[in-house]
Amino acid sequence: MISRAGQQSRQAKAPRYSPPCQGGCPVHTPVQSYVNLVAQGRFRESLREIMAYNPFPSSCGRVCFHPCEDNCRRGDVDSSISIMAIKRFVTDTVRDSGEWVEKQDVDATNGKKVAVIGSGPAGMSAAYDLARMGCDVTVLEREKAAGGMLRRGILDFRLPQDILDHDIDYILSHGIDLKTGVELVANSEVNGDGSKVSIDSLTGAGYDAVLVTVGLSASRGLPIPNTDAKGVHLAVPFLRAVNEGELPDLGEDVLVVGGGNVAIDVARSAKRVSNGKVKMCCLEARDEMPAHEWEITDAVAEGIEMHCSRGPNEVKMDDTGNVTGLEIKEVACVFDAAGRFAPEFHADSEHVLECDTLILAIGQMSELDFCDGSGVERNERGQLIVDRNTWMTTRDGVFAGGEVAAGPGAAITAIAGGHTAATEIAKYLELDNPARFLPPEDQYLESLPAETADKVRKENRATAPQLGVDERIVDFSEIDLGFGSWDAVREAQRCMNCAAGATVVGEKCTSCLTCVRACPYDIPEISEEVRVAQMDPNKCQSCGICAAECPANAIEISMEIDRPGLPAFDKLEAGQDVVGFYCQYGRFANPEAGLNAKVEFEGVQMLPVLCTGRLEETDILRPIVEGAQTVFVCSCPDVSCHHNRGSWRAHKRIARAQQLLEDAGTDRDRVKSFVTYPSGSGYAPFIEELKNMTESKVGK
Amino acid sequence: MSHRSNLERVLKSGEFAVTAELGPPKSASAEIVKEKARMLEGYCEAANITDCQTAIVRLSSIAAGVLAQNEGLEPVIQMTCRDRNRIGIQADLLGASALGARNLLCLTGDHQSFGNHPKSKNVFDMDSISLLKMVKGMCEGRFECGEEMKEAPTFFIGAAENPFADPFEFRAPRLAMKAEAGAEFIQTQIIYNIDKFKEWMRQVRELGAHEKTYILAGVAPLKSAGMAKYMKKNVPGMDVPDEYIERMANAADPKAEGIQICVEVLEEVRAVEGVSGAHVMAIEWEEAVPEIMEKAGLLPRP
Amino acid sequence: MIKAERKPVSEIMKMLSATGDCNNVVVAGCGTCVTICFAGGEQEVESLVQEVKIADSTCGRDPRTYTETTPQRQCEVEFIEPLEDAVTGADAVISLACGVGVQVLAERYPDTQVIPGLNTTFMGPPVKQGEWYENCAGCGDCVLGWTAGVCPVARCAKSMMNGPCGGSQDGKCEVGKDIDCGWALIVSGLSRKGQLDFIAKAAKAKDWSPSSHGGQRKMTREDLMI
Repeated sequence: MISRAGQQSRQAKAPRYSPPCQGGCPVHTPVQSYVNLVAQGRFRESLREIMAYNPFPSSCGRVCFHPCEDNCRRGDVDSSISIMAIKRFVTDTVRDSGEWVEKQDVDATNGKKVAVIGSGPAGMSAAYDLARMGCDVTVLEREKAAGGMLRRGILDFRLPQDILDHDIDYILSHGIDLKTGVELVANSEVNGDGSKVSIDSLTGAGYDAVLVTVGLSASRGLPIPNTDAKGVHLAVPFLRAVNEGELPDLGEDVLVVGGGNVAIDVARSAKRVSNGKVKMCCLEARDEMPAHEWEITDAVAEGIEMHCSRGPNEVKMDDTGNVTGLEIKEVACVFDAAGRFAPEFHADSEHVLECDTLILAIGQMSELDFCDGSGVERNERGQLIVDRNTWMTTRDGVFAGGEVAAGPGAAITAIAGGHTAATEIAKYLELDNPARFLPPEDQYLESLPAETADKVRKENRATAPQLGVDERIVDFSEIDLGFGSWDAVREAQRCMNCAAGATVVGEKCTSCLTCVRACPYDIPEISEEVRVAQMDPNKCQSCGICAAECPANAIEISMEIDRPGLPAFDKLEAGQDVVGFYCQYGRFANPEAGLNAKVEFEGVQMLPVLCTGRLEETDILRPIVEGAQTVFVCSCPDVSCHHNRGSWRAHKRIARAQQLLEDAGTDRDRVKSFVTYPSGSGYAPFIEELKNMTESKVGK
Repeated sequence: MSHRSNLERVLKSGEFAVTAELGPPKSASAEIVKEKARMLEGYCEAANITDCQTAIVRLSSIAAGVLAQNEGLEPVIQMTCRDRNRIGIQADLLGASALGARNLLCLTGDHQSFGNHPKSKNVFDMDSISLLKMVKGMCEGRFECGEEMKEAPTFFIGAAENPFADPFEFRAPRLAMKAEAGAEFIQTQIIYNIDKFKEWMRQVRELGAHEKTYILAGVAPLKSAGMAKYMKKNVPGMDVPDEYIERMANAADPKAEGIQICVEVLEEVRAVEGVSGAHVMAIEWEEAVPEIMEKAGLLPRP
Repeated sequence: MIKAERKPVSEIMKMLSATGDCNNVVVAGCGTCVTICFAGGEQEVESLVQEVKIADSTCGRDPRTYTETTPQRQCEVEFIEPLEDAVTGADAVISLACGVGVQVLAERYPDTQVIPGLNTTFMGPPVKQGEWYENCAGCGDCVLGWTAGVCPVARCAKSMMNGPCGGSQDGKCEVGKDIDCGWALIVSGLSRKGQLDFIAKAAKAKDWSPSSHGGQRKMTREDLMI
């Protein structure tokens, strides 16, 4: 027997990478996977995949700052995929179907009791994880309804309340007990009716662990004169009041101070409840504003004036104590050379921005009075002292997560904080597999090299329609209208399946150069050093053409079978004698055609494949070997083939398979080829032929 | 003896020499050979007896040559490298010489894929040039292997050259190589493109090859416009000018027109310096030769 | 490398039938030359098995059992030793190797019927993906140094040593418009290098004794023998 040792050393190294969209997401949601399920028209499965990691998909589908899109490598080709809008589409579609996704698996109860204080994204995510791990979880919420800042801080025009309810109800359905109207206080404040509890009262009640996720629930004030004037409001109470329909009496000239996302939300809310002008001022220059660019753009579009690089100096009021304006100074610079916050002002630049309502949205802080006497300590700046490894406070068994522990951040960051806290609590409680909901740190791909990006077919990014500006500002109707299903599917099909590509089995590779020649993207290389084919995972577009062409069967596509699917013919089911392969990015993914991958024709086994260019002759003929009368392949027209040359390759292999059939003494027409346009043309003749195929079976 | 054959005699005398072509039948019919020989006798110095031309099996060149010789027509035996290795060729040539054949044309031979036995295996142990070298050696008393023989064969040795094949610039040098290898006379491919032929002859003269070997210009009568077109399309280098094709197409009597054109070409090439004679190829139309000779004023033969 | 192409399955089936009731068949590919020319690699093994199965079911024959294997090279005994159990237990082996591999297999397993699944065609490179040509005839007496790196034996239909013949036209051979005239390439190659004198002198008849015309060829290197 020949030693294969020498062969092994030739094997190309194939480190595993993950797509950067996933890496960009703080909870590492498997973006590529769920986007691909949408691309196949498999919406419910897509949502369930999302919800294994992100229990707030409906909310994040609307308000997330979507770092996944910033990291999306489609942006290196044309523009990133509208991932957030796709996520929102999935949640809307499944919700509208009347049946939300089924529950996640829940472990048998382990007898551990955990109290979570605060029902924002961090607390609810932690509760969700711990409940799934078999803990008895109680969530305590000070307000009337769960949701934290998602409920109180974000208005309906961005996130309608009933949408949030769906996410929360789903989380709670995993056996979590929610108690609203319960406030965490110092021991001295605890009352008998259970509406005010303390750390001690909770541990005394048998909770094995307590998680504090009370967020940054109070607005900061400004240390300038006259902030107590009538008509001066703070952001958090203002937003809460608007959300609860307790509209404050706004004047006709509203000034919002602050340049962050909350300030923008405040200004846009004010625009909808006041009859007059709304303007904003902030220390930062326009391009330094901490708010997301698209939020600023939307605000400006809604008629909100921006006064950037202005520092508040004094609130002006009239004799009756009503605010009349804000004296401001012009900012020379906000940050010092080291990037620290150290604003400097132009001398003698004071002037007044007039207003009759002033809302301060310059930042938030936690309310931590509950700490008094609890053993949960604060630092000199008044913040909780938390161990950054274990997320435990200074008291054993008491943990903190989300913004109260990690500082201000987005909802998805808080969700990630919830997962982390749950993991640490699970370790503390000595549960099995405590890190199961904590996304692993993978190696992520870098940006797509330009030489490859140039070869990828350009496809424009779709954006969901929005209400026109005039319609928006009259009430709190949701602005984003969401994708239609075909738009969502087509948008999802722009996904390039990064990092799901080809790997070479070194000991099989004969260095024949076939892959080098066949790759539509010129990616495989055979170098002097590694004398077998290598595909740069940073470049591979996962079309699978090389794997189908390789005469040595030395190339594997790392995608799992079910997503961007490989042909997975196994055996014929009873009553089937026709097998159809179809491009899952083509006609059959179009849900508006009243037909998708779920639909099966009677007597026909339908098999999706991501690009029919992936099919080898042997894939095409296998069903015939197993007894099928007919095999058909529905490929896309060349003009719409996601991989440029995939359909073209498919036609060649179909012809070859037909020739092999003829050589074997049977009818070459047992393999049929159809071109079905995603838009629908070519479909009617296909259906007609399909009827003939299935009828011919009857006559047989 | 100052000459080995009649053809050599006429060429050496400085007269304009003429050879014709006799295609043996695809059968064992001696009569057909004899008839064709009688037809050509007196109208040429000698006639080439083709050797399974275009790889179609025909009565052998040497046997047909002997039959022709018996009718008074001097044969030019053709020998190709396609069907025999150097053993078979040498044996046949000894036989041919013994039977009195004195002119020999050395050819590589048409590829068997053109003929009626395309599945056959070819030999091509040698090519026209190495064949010339071998025959020259034989005539000097040596076999190809170097071994001496007691009685050497006697041949006036010739070869063919196609001035119209590619690479054109290598065609005149190749003629010189053939002369060097032993070719005492050269018959060219059929000429229709006279300008190109003249250019080739210029190159031949530049190399002085026309002084080392006698050059017989190949001419052939067209039978029809269809034949002209066919040859232009299918025979390498046979670029029949459109003018001739038109004349053939418009002619009331195409055969007469074909003969007329042949005579015109013959007269033109005859005037080219270095051309010592003509090779008139009336393919399966041997009876046209007397008329061509008559019209060209080449009768009677010396 | 060595090129080969698949025999039509009907011919393979005929050989199988002539062998008897071949219910247990080994289909052996070869992982080197014939893999590269898409005739005998792992993929082609799979494909042939499918084709035989389809042919069998078309004529109503009961299914056979198949063992599919693709050793790195069939032409070396060491690589086919591991097939011993499969081969000796089989009614027939269909070898998708070149003629070299088929014979090594047949010699190593003399009691098993070895059926060639390929026609071995020639030695040559790919022109481009899916197209190959012959460029070496293995004549045993290489003259490429004198002929601008173009072989007159393999690339001239008449293997002329003094070409080109009168059938060369526009760089193509008279035998087929899709075949380059080897001698036209030689002339242009030498003329580019200023070496036309390499072929200006008539070459005598080639010595064919080192080629296949001298009986089965063998090589020995005493120093290498173990």
